[in-house]
Amino acid sequence: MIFKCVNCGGNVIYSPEKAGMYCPYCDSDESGEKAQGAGFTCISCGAPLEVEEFTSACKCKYCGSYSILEERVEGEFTPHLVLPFKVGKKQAKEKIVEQFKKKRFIPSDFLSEAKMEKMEGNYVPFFMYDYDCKYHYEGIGKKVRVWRSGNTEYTETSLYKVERNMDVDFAGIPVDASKGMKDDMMDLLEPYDYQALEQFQDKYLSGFLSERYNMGSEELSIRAREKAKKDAESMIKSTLTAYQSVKTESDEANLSLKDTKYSLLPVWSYLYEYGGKKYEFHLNGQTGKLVGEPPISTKKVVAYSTTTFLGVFAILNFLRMILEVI
Amino acid sequence: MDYIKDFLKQFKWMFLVLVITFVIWIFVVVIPKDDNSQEIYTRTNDQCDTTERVFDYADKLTDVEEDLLRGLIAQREDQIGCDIVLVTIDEQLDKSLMAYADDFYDNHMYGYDEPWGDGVVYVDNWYDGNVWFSTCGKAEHNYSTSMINDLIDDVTSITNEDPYQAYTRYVNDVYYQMSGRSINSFNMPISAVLVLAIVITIVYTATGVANTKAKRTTTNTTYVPAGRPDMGLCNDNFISKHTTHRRIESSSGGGGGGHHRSSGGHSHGGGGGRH
Repeated sequence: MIFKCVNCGGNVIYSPEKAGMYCPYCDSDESGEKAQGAGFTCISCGAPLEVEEFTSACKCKYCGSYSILEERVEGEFTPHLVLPFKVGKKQAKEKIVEQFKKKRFIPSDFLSEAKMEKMEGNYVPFFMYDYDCKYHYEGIGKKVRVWRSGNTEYTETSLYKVERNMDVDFAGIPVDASKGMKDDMMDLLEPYDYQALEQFQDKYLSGFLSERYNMGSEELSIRAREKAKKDAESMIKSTLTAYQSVKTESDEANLSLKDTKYSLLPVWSYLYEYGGKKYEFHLNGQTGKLVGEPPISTKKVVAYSTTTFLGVFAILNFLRMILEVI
Repeated sequence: MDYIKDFLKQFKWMFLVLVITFVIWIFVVVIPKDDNSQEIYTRTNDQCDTTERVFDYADKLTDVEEDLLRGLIAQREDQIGCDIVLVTIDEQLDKSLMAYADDFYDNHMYGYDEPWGDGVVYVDNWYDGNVWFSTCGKAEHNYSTSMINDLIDDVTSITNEDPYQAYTRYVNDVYYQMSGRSINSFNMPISAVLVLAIVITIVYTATGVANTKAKRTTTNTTYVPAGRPDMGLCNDNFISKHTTHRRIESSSGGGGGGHHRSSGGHSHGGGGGRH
């Protein structure tokens, strides 16, 4: 299925800048209507679509139209929520340029328009977990006080029995359900502002790539539990800062799952290949936060460092000789 | 093309600075400086019993080096109006090095303007490595303790490795200091420039290669709608206390220097050191 413009027949896409549907061919707003197709072929040009196991929205590599695979956003695969893109492609490119333009050793074409034009917006499948956590902690806290009197130093060590009971409700802990996305990178893109979450509508996928979840919510709940437990531990530790050290005697976290929601969250992805290695850059499609480390051009490192050394040496030497005769 | 464009963009400021320093270097160093404006003194002391300034009793200099030093001293003396004397010895003295230096100066009746007048003498005893820098007349008034220390540190730092360079440095340092300039900025060795250039290059390369990793922007309460946990129990009960103690050792030190009068009754300043 694609969204076709009722005025010109072009592919209508969701525009983050306009926060609505937009036809880039005739410049009309909200002019899209659904056009159904059959199988994995492009409705616009009839070419076969490159569809992988979990693809739910893709781009035709021949005509550039964005198709949505309805059967992969329906029934058990219907997302509960979607967070529409707020950052457009132009803004995403600007953010990457802003972040890396001062990196002197990146390859010359890394920030070129030709390379960055290949950047694509992805709706990444996430499960968002709600947990109720009951935490019990016991330990021995140590406080040390040191003072001087004359030429004698005194050290006083006090011990305390520490007990904590904490109740905390977690809501919407996100865990990405895409095998293609690296977990550590997806974690670093957080947080998303959940206030902007909306009930799922397939129109938001037009103009972007998307996947349905690759793994079930139960399988991924392990990561969510780890995240919740880690945060709860931090909260407990923040109540123990009065002590120089605390020896743990009992540390129990009971987590009970209250709810799980399947959501699609917006991520811009820029894939760059250099020296036979693939480099991934992901940008939060709502906040603009960027994650990824650029490649280093060895040729540039050698040339620039040598030039710097020779230039600095020459300048300093000229200065040295000038100062000697002044 | 992008590569060359990036290269020129990266180094445009460095190239500009290089060209500017090069031009200054041409005008200041390569093209001989017009020294007509500099004041030239005329020696008025005709009672000094010698025209010699370099007494290399320790035989640390070659004849050529001694001649070069004599030429430099003659030039510097007329520029600052002070006698500049160098003495190297290699013997165990029966008096202090300070007394030796003062007496040497007084006995020869050194002084640019008059006997026991304006001038300096640097005595280097290779027997024990001690040195003494004695000042007289306007040199005595001009030299502070820190200036004397600067000169001695500067000269003794290379005396063992290269006596000629060290004594050349002594003559030039006296000239700079009597002209009201600091000696510290004039003697940067080429090896220091090389090291500095290497350090700057390492910093430049390291900062360019280092990647700033994205930081976690969530906190432990990001997914807690209430903003904070509910602390049902928060008890801290005192169990015990104990105290230990230890003695603290201390240490101290100090030093100093100043003006004095020689055995001949003439006022001298100065200071000593060791190499």
